[in-house]
Amino acid sequence: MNRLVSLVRLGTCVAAAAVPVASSLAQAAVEPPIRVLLRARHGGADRLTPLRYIGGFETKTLLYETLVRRGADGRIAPGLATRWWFDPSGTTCFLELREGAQFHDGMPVTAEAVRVHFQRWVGLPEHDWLACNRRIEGVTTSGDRVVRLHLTEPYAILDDLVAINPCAVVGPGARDWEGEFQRPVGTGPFRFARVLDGGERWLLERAQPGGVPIEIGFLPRGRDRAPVDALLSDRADVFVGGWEEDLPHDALQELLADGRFIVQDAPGSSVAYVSFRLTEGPTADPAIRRRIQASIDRAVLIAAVEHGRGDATTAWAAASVPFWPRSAPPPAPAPAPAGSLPALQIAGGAAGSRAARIAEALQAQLQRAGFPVEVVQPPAARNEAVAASGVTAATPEVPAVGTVRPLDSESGEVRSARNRARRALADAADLRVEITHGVPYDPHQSLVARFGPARAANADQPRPRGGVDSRLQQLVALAMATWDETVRLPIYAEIQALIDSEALIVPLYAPRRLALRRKEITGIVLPIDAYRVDLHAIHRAP
Amino acid sequence: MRSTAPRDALPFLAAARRVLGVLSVVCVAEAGLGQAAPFVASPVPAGAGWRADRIHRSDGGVWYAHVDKVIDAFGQNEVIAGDDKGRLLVLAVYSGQWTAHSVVCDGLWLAPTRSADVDPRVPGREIYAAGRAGSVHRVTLRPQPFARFTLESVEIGHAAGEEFHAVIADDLVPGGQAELLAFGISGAVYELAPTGTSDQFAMRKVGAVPGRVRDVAVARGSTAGPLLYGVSRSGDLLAMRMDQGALQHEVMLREDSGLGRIALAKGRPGVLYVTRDDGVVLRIERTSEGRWQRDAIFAGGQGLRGVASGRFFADDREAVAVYGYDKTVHVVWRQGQGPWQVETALTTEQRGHWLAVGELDGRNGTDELVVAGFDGDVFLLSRPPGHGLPGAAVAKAEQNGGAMLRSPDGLRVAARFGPRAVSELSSLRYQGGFETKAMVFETLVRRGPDGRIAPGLATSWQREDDGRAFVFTLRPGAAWHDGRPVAAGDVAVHFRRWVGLPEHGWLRSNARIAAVRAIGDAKLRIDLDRPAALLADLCAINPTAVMGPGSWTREGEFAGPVGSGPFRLLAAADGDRTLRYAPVTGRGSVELVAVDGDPVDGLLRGEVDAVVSGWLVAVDPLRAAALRCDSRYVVVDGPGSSMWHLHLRWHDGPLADLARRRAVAAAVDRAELVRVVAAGYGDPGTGWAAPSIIDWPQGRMVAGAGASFPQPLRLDAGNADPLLVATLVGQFERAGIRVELAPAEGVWDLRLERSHGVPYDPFTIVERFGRKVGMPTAASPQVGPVDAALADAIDALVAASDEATWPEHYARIQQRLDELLPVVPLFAPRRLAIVRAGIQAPALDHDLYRLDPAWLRAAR
Repeated sequence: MNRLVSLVRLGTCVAAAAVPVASSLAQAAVEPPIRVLLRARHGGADRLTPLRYIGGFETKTLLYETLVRRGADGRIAPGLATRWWFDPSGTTCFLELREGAQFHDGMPVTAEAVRVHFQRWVGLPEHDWLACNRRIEGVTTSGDRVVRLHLTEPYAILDDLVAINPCAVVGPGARDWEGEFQRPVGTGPFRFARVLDGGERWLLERAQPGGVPIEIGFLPRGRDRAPVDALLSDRADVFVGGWEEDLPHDALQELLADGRFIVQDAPGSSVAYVSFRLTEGPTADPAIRRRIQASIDRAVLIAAVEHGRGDATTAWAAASVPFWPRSAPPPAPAPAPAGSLPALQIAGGAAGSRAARIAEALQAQLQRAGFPVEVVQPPAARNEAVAASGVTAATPEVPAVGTVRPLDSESGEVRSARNRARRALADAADLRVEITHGVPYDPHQSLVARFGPARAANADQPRPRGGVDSRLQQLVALAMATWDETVRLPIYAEIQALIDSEALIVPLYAPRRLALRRKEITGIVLPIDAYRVDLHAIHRAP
Repeated sequence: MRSTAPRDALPFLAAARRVLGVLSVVCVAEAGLGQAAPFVASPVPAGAGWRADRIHRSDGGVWYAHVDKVIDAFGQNEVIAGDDKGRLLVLAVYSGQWTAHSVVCDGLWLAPTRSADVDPRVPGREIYAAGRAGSVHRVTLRPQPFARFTLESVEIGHAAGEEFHAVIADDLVPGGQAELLAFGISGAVYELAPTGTSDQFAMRKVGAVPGRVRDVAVARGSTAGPLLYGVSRSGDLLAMRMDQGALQHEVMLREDSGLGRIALAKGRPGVLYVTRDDGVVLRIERTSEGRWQRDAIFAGGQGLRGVASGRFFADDREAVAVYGYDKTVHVVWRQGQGPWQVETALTTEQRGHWLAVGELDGRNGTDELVVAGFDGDVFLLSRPPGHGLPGAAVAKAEQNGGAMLRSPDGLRVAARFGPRAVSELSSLRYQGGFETKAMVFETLVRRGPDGRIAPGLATSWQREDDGRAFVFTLRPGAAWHDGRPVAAGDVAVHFRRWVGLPEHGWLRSNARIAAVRAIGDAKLRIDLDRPAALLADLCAINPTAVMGPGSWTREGEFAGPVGSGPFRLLAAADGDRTLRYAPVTGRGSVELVAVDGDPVDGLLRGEVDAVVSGWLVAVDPLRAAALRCDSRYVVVDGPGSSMWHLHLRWHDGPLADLARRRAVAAAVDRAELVRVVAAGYGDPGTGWAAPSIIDWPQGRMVAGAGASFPQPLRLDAGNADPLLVATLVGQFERAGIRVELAPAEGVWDLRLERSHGVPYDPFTIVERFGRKVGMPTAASPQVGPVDAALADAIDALVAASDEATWPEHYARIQQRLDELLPVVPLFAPRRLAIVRAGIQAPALDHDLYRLDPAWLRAAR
């Protein structure tokens, strides 16, 4: 019954949206925006909300804030909330919002606005990958600045609240009174100004006065040289790689050879590691796993796979996450007699992918240590003629999605099916090459997803059928129930010690983050948060 | 084994050409099957911008089809097909009439080849077929007197225990005759080559490939000879080549799903499309580096069984058509390197098995599709005449694609919805129309014809905890349109998607619901923080009509409307101006058509078969009255529930004086209003709710009391019909009350408003006179101070969880309305329907937001 009046309201919203356009145009006349390319599924500005799994992480972290985030040391740090505490039972989390915080439309950030944002996602099945989704039984407010999350059991919820989708808070002004999403309205360092080129690119302006606006363009995810080509052909000023960035070395070299550009790197937080089939086969034997662990030379691996752009780690978390406890690697076992070691299968990713390259490099190292090793690849790459180009994995069991939304290779169904196919292959191998999602999901969320108690009806969790060590699982469950990160440190230490002593996994290294830029563009900061780029100081040098 | 046709004759295509080229096209079918009567192509409903004609109907599934030149004497291509009864069919067209020629080779289903010159002993080309029996047949045309011809088959090979799903006759080795390959179910591949001087063929195994090859495409252009691409049920994509008498193969790709069909991209060398049994279409492209890139470009229903690439658009965009068990022909396309899009070209009642592409209708500039499947229907799917032929004039009779394409049995009903209705067919959005959604989705309860709460998706309900909880029992056997059973957990998730969100605050219960949870699969419990009249709110389509889990992708994106209602959405057509629905039980389809302007004009223009008044679809009663005399139409009416109200500014201004308000009320002549304004199609009412809501009492009639009106009253007419305004003003003038129109947005003393009707009435009183919650909206305007006594009575209603007590609250509210006189109820326009003569007219109830499903099913 509201349909007719909604037309009137829509007109009002469009008019309101037009206001920042004028100001951005005026500014554009002074200095053209800096053109920034990101990797993302470009879903259109009308879907640029953390409540939808499209539109790019970096874009959203420029526009929106989570209540808490992970700071430079990898620990939970203030975001939109500056203070938090729990009740003694650990089942109510209180978060106090930043004083004076405002959404980009000028509305104050209230606890009620945050409550409504949570109301829009908590309990919906599409967010079940976050364990807290089924543990939040209510969200209430206390005054204007305190949000209360009521939990079904003691739970380390802060580590879930760092997830950009769906936790980053959207302002009420993003929607019209009928609930239709009108425009991105957050509290992040940039605010959405308008779309350019019919929606292909987006103009973002500074939330605070001053500074040049940025123009966001998108590239599909995958291993290709498209970012380099975009810079060389002057279609972009900056490219910022995402958490899975894997630019071909030769393309980078080509860019470096051109004096106009700089390749900027920084420590990453996403860790490549080897996991084992624990339930059967040779890797069920801890001695074999330890021998494998001792056979790996991380420096050689980084040189072979990343051309040096990686930081070795022997712990679950990357070296850039300093609070995670580390211990010295165990001593190498005595050399094995020739021919005494069992044959191993390593599952890598699609041909040419980082995981596949790591698998091949590991194969060489393990063979030198005396293991006969075979690398198995996903079905699509079984024949060399079908080479990898980022989307070569099989996509089984893709359900029908109707005609409303066309499917592309990055759609959720396709990615999910692709992951399942890879996992099925990996489950049959003795060794798997896996890569964590990095900060802010590392170290805790990744640990929970990988080794925590299994969650029902969530086919996308990378739960290895090869088995999880029950002691490890119990420790992770304990960590999940301990909200205080400081209190959790001994548990983490125990987890790391168990991983080390039993060689449950072998952490390898963290690929470094990358940004490509024109020389005159400076002020880009790549934090360890792999889903964020700090552009508050970006500018053109004179 | 041979057919019933004479064995010793060697009919051949060239001979047929010489004979048939000068004679009639009337042919007889293969002996034993009876006469092949010309089949006049009959139109069937198709997607927007497409036309579809049934060109053949077999008594068994038609499994294979090719578009090919068979009879050279005929200018147009023919269709070669094989059906479940073992017939090899050649469908020939002449001036829109299709004739099926057939021969039964061995009585079991057959896979035919295209025509090719494999056998040098037979002039011209031959067709070959093999299938379930493990036998391979050569089929030729034998001329008969009087321009007739018959098809004749001869068995040329047999492999015991084999079954052939793909047979290829083509020039696979450069030079010489064409080669003939049959792909066996065992993976063995046989070549059959003519030997000797009679009909003899040598059959030898030339290779073995993984899995059962189901379809093969032949690619040319390589200097090393044609390359064959095959797909198999084992999930292998094979590249094959005849080399030194043997078939060499290489597995290009191995999928985790069976592969069903393969097509070469037309005009794009190095590009293949492959269907997977799980509904995915893959695009395989050879890159400039010589590698193969694989992309999933479409996810359709499970069981894709047809794929064809061709020119389906006037421009040169890349496009591929697919068909399968979901009974729908989808055309998947993209512009340049843009994202893949999909449109529905045809929805059939049969499950699909094969698509073929070729030129069969020169009236457009695009390729046609031949669509075959399980029920034996063969359709020709084409673009309308003139499409892709810039500058060509098109005969008027051929221009109206809608008229040609419309379903011969599908009822078309006028509706109102916007251009993005398909993506808005969600009860969680306040867009996309009402009837459009009420077809698909059900509310837990609804309002029955008497205005009382009636079962919807829930068949019964219980109040618990002194009205602080309701437990609903869902209809046993209820199923979502995707086949999944309706589980209480699904309903709970739907509620989770709206409860507590501010945009739904207009439903008072939204703030009262504390928890919604499933109790087993069949019961849903809704807990409230205090007693509330929840049932009244649960009749609202938006947002309470329940959407099934299949409406959402795993990422929570809207995938399509999947409800439990009486109809499921089939497709949007005509640029999303037509929504086609199929009944969940029974056959046929119904179309809701977005009509511009007055829907009655749409009816008169022939765009729809029926107009039915509703909240969004207005039917002018004067036009309805006029059409009662037109034998081409039938006009029926039923009770309405949306009341015209005259609101009085009771709290200040001249009408703050109750005597004046009484004088205004007394001046109204409802019977005249109904007669003049509604042509008799109205029910006068003195209560807030229409008389059709039997529990709401009528108000007191008011007698005038000689009040004076020193100044004219200012009337805000809103969007009321000028005739209503003029008639009402005339009545006031007769009573000595001067009235002038209030300026826009200005202060008013009188204001015409219309209530929203059932299912929102009578609870619309809550928003209009209750205490306000939240910000005022256009749906809940803030029009003045609240009368405490009236608001108390309304609060009591809102808190009344037991619907049996509602009549008491209704009476108390109406009594206070009568005392206060903030509103003068006028009349409820009756619902109207106008249908074409010959179409069953609906029985109309007072729910303004839904069409009667029984009528929609029966009126076809």
